[in-house]
Formats: sequence, structure tokens, C-alpha cells
Amino acid sequence: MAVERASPGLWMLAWRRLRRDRVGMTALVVVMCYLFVVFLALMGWVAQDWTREVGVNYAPPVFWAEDQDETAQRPAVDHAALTDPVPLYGLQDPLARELAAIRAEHPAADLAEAPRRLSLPLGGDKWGHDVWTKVIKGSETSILVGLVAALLATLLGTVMGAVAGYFGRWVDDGFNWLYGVFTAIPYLLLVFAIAAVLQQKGVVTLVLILGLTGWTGVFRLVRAEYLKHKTREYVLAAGAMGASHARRMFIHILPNTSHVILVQLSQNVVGFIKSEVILSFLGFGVPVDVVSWGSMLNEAQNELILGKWWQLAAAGLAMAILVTAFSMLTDALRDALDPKLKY
Amino acid sequence: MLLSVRDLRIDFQVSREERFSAVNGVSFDLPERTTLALVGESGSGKSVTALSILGLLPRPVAHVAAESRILFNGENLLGLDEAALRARRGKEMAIIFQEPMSSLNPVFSIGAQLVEGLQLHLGFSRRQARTRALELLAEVGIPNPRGRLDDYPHQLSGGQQQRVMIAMAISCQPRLLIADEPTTALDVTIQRQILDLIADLQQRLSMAVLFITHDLALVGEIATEVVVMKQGEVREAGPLRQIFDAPRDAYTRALLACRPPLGARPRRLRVIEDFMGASPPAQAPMVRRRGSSPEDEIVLDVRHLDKNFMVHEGLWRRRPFRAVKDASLRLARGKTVGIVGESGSGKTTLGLTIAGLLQADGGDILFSGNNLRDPGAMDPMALKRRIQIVFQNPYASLNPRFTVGHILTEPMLLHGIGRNDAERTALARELLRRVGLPQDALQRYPHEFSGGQRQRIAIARCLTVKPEILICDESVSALDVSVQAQVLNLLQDLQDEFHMSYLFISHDLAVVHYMSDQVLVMHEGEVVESGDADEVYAHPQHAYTRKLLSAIPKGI
Repeated sequence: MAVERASPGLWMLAWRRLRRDRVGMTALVVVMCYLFVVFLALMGWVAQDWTREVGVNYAPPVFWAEDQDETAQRPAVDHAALTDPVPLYGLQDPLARELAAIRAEHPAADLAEAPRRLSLPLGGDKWGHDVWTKVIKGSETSILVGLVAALLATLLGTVMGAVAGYFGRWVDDGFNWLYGVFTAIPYLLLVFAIAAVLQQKGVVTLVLILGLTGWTGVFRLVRAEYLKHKTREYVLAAGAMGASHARRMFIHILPNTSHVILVQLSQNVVGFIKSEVILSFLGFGVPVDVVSWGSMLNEAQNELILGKWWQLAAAGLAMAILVTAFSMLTDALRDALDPKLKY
Repeated sequence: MLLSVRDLRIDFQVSREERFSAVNGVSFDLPERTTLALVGESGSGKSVTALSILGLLPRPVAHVAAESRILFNGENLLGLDEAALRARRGKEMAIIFQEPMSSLNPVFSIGAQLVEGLQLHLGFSRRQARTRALELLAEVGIPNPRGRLDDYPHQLSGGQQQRVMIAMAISCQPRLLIADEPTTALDVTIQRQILDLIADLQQRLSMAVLFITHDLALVGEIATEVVVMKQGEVREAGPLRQIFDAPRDAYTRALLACRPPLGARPRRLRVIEDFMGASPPAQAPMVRRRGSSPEDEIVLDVRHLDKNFMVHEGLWRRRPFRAVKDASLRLARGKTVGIVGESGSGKTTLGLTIAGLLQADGGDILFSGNNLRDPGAMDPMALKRRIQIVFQNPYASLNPRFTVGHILTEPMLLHGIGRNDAERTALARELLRRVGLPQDALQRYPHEFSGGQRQRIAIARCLTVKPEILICDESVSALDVSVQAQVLNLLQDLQDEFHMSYLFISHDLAVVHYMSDQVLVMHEGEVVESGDADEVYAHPQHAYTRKLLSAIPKGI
């Protein structure tokens, strides 16, 4: 038998079109770089130590400075004097004896602080955390929240839109009512309400909030696609063959709406990254022990008054580049997947 | 000479590297006050030629060769700029398109759309333009023009919409009217009216008409000169008589021969290959006998079938719309019942109801001893296996994301045919060979096939479950005439081989006559006449049947 070569499917053709799109490919490379960094951070290979106070408070951003640390300029602390039983002012430290015992027991525990640097490449924050490390760790949180929430929202919207559009009638009416309720309430109000119900701050909460409120756009589009496709002859033909409703919905129609869903997913990722930033900025986002671009911008509020602009610049720039690249990738994807070019 | 096209070459930029040559050196002349027909199948470049005359080609992708000339009144239209063209479009030359509904703007009344052109080109005042618009509507035969002037396009029927389009086209009394498949989307009786209207206006306004069509039979009704095109080239040009009586080109002869004739019923229809091949077809086509006899074994007996659709009225009220009223038919094993009717006659609804895709509201469907109206009468999967349906649009009836192999093996998987994938693939391969498709089609996607090939795939998909009844719902209507003949031949061969019964639904009277032993004529949901195919066509009893038959374009 002759070897049969499979024809390029829709995805292959879309990929070929995307490959020719120079802007789209650049955006794709940028997004892949970000995702790679997120992966590294997730595995704990980079930015694990963002809580270490490596610089002086508000260390300015300097790239070319000599490797200097501030210990040289710090007046040496005489630890022996501190534990001296002879009081300085005729008073005796009541805990001096215990302190001396502890120190004798644990000679390793040195009170001497680790040397802090006077300047950092992207500067330091209030506690001397390295802003560069924070941006990396923050991007892990922000992008993960955006991705997972977008997946959740798209899944919800797709399933509900498919069921509503395919079955129509009262099922459709029910889902449309739900959609109406969700879109009628102002977005932030809805987010605050769900945050209040969930009662706790955290990354999971944030994902749930965004996912539960963000399905409406996907729902509307997927429902419209299903309304259009369910009367197409290929679906009728599948019905005439005896394909079940589930088979017609998810094996026959779903691949034909996948381009819409993918573009929506991509748009949602961008939207949710921005939402996470806004929510964290407003204090409804990630808890204090987690860093995200939003929490960095939140901190930058107070820093700006002191003229410390670098945390704002770093987080803002990181986000702006990703969001721009992702948006351009979405546009390129839409162009590459547009079936009107093919059929 | 009003219009001379000389060596017209048009390329389309498909992608950065690829160019597609749509028109390749076309030349013809259109004298004043004459009707010239451009005839060709899809992809022949006839519409592109028409659009290039008006300068309506999509600018960035269409390239017209530098040496091409389109002389209108001695002036080369290809050399004019957009403003000069715009001044001529609508005023000296006008066009009507195939789809009147999409050519009219749905948010403006027809009066407003007529008035716009009159004010723009002739500088009429609003009052003058409205008066003229009323005259025009009367001229194209819209009843009660004063009452219809402020109607919106959706309030008019398809035929009336096309009349409004014609009114707009002739509003400035152009010297050239281009009609691009103006009747293809219309029913046969309406087509007749529109053809008569165009011929009449051509005489009265002494226009030249460039009539573009795929249907040679129509050409005989309207044109005096004919140009036959194929794949961007002129195959033959000449006066009507010469083209019909003594066609020189093999392709023209094939086009004339591959339509099913009304008078006779050859065993096989002639196809393009019979004429384009090196040797002419040797044997004369044998005659096929059709017709029913009382001892035929009846496999499907439909009695007094009713089907209603609920139409929403206002917010809460619903009114039943009776799509099929009291329809009865008997289908014998190995025979064909043709159902013929115009759009909205309920013929497709009847087919879908028998196929079990719609629920009937009354009557009985008796199939091999079971009444399909009883919910528990028959296992639904077994039923689906025995009654299959081929749809109209081969572009829509195959899932574009499935390979042909997937499309063919899925029904077998659902019905448990074949023990494993290898066996099913072998079966699919065998069916592909049977419907005349290459073996490597299995791995390919539907968009890589032409319309006729896709329809073959759709037929093969039905054959995978070996049905007893095949419902063909306008299955060849979307195909070019030459491809139509091939698919009709295939359907006849399959019927001979597998002894299937066909329910053949079509608006095309000639095709239905060719395929059927018995016919049903439907009109507004009712079966107005039924009987032996030859008998009904020879001696129609009902007034509507007579009207339908008289509207068939007869060639010359």
C-alpha cells in the first residue's frame, strides 16, 4: 500500500499563516519568554529568595556601581559591650546573663547582619528586597492567576454557551437569565461581593473570583456559534447518522468553534492579568506574603510620595510588555485562524 | 459597437507568492440594443469579467493586464480613474446581482434607495425623484407602487426584490445593463417573470444587456448572441442559432447534452468526458424504463402526514404554521419518488420528517411493518441505519474539521459496523472507490475537494450504513450542470447495484423527471398532484403543475 501523507489540517494551516506574520511571531516569542520565566520561578529555580533583604532600604537602581556593601560605613557594634554585666548607666541588663548563655551555646548564630548592598540593578523596596527578583516572582503570580482564571472562565463560558446555544428554548432562556444577572451588576461590585462571600484572601480566591465573573464574554460568543452551527447540514447529517447530542455538541461542533474560543481565551488572559493588578492594587488581591505586579504597584503608591519610582516602573513595564505582546498575539491568532480565509 | 472587450486578462493575488489567473485573454463585442449571454460553469470567470467592466474588482488583489482593453463607446474603461468610473456606473451602465436580498440595504426603504440614485446621477429634487421612483416601480411591475414605496426590502418577496433591483438599475436609463445570474436564486415561475421583464425592458429602453448565467436553457429565451466560457477562456462565440444547432466546440456540445432531456430518459446522462475525450462516445445511450406497477413491494408508506412549526407572534403568542398538510406517498423497493415544488412548498420539511430529523404532528409513517410515529416502534439507531439523507449543500454537509476518513468511519463506529479501525478503513476505502474518488482522499479534508467530489463523499457516508431508503434533498442543485450529470449517473448506478429506494427532492423539474418513477407536486405544504412521472409531465391535471411545467426554460 502506498504511504499516505496526511493533509495539513486547520491548525497546521493556521500555524503556517502565523509563521508568516512577523508581528505575531515577535509577540509569540515575547510571550514564550515570559512563560519560560514563570516556569523557572514555579520550579523554584529563580526568584525563590525574594524576601531576602539584600539591599539597603530603597536602594536606588544602579547598574554600574561597584560591588559595595553598607557594612563598611556602619559603625561597628561592640557586642561584647552590650553583654557586659557592668552597667553603663548604673543599670544592669536583666537578661544579660541569659543572653550570654544563649550565645555561648550557639556560636554560629551571629547577630552581625548580612552585608547589604547600597544599590541594586532595579533598585530595592522599603525593606531592601531586590525589585528585579520581585518582578520575576510577581510575574509568576500574575501570569498564573491570569492563565488559570482565563482557563476556568473559558471552560465555564464554553460549556454553558454550548448547552444554551445547542438546546435552545427554555435551557437557553435559563442561561440567558444568568448571563443577564452577571452582566447587569457592575463588575467591581460583583467582584467585591464574591470576595466578601469567600471570606479569605489568597491566590485561589482570586482565581475563583476572576473565573466566576469572567465567563460572560465567552458564553455570549460560544452560544452564538452554536446557534449558527446546530442548523448546519453537517450537524444534521451527524444526527441522521445517529450521533448523540453530546457527540454532536463536543465532537462535531466544538472543533468548528475552537478558533473563537482560543481567541477569547487569549483575550481573557490579558484581561485577567490586568484585573489581578487592579484588585491587588485595591487591596482585594493577593495576601501580603505573596508578591504580584498588583501588590508591587500597591506598595509603589506610598513610595512615589518619597520619590522612589523604581518599583512602579519595573512592575508597570513588565506588565505593559506582556499585555501588549499578548494582545498582538491575540490579533495574529485571530487572523491566522479566521476560517473565512480558507473556506 | 457599444462594448468591446479585448484580450482581457485578470489575475488574483492568492498569497504572496501565488497568483491565480481568473480571466485569460477574453474578447467579445456587444453591439447596441442587443442581448449577449456569457455562459459558463463556476470558475469560468464570467462574473469577474462583468465586475471588471464596471471597475468593481477588489483593487489590491486583482491585477488587470496592461494590454487588456474594455472599450465602452470607444473609451477604454480600464484607463479611467475611480471618479470617472463612478460617474458612469449606475448612469450609463448598471448591474443587477444574483441575491436581491443582500443587494438591497435592509435598513432603508426601497423608495429611499431608488431616490438616492436618481438624486445623485440626474440631479433630481426629492419630489421629482419620488415621482420618478413611482413610475419605475410601475414599470417593473410592482403592484400598487404608491403603497410599496416606503416598504423595507424584507417586506417584499424574492421576485419583487429582484424587480426593485431592476428598477434601480434602469432608473437612469443606462445604455448597458449587466445581469449577473439574476434569476438563479428565484423559483422557476418567478424566473420566467423576471426573464420576460428584462427582455421587455431591453426592447422598450433600447438597452444592451450582458446576461451572465450558468444555464444554457435560459440563454435561448433571452439572448441573440452567446459567448461560452470555461476556466477564464472563451470556448465558442456566435449567434444563438449557431450555438444551439451547430456547436463547434466540444465543451459547448457537452453543456447542451448533459442536462437531462424532458422528452426522453437515457440510461445514462452524457458527461463532459464523453465529449472532451479523444474519441466521440461510441454507443448511443440506452433508454431507462421508469414507472411503477401494482406488484411493487412497498417499503415506505406515508399517510396523511402533518407538520407544523410554531411561529412566535409578539411576546407570548404562538401560532402554528402548517408546513406540510396531509401528505401521502408510497415508496417501492428500488424505485424513486420525486418530490417537486418551489421554495416554501414544504418538500424539504417532508423529507426531514420522514428521515426522523423532525417530529410529525399527525398522520402515519409506515416503514417495514412499524409505524415510526409510535415512539417505541423501532430502535432509533436501527431506523437511522435504514433511512439516510443526502443534503443540498456539499460545502456545509461535511464537517470541515474532519478528514474524509473520519467522516466515513464515524457512522460505522456509531452503528458497530466492522470489528476494528482497520476493517472500517478498508470499508471506507472500498466505498471511495465505488463513488469514484481517489484512495488518498481518506487523509484529506473536505475543503480540498470540489463540490461534486464533496457530494460523492456525502453519498459514500450514507452508503457506509447500507440504507434501504436514501432521501436526496436537493442533492444536485448546488452543482454545475456537468457535475450534476455525473452525480445523477452515480445515483442511478448505486440504485441499480444496491436496490435502494430514493426519495428525490428538487425544485428542478427536468432532474426530477429524469430520476423518478413517480412524482409528487407540492405547493404551499400540500400535495397538489401525484402519479406516474411520465403521466404527470405529459398530462398535468392541476393548474399549478401546468404553470410550473410551462415555466421551464426550453432552450430555443
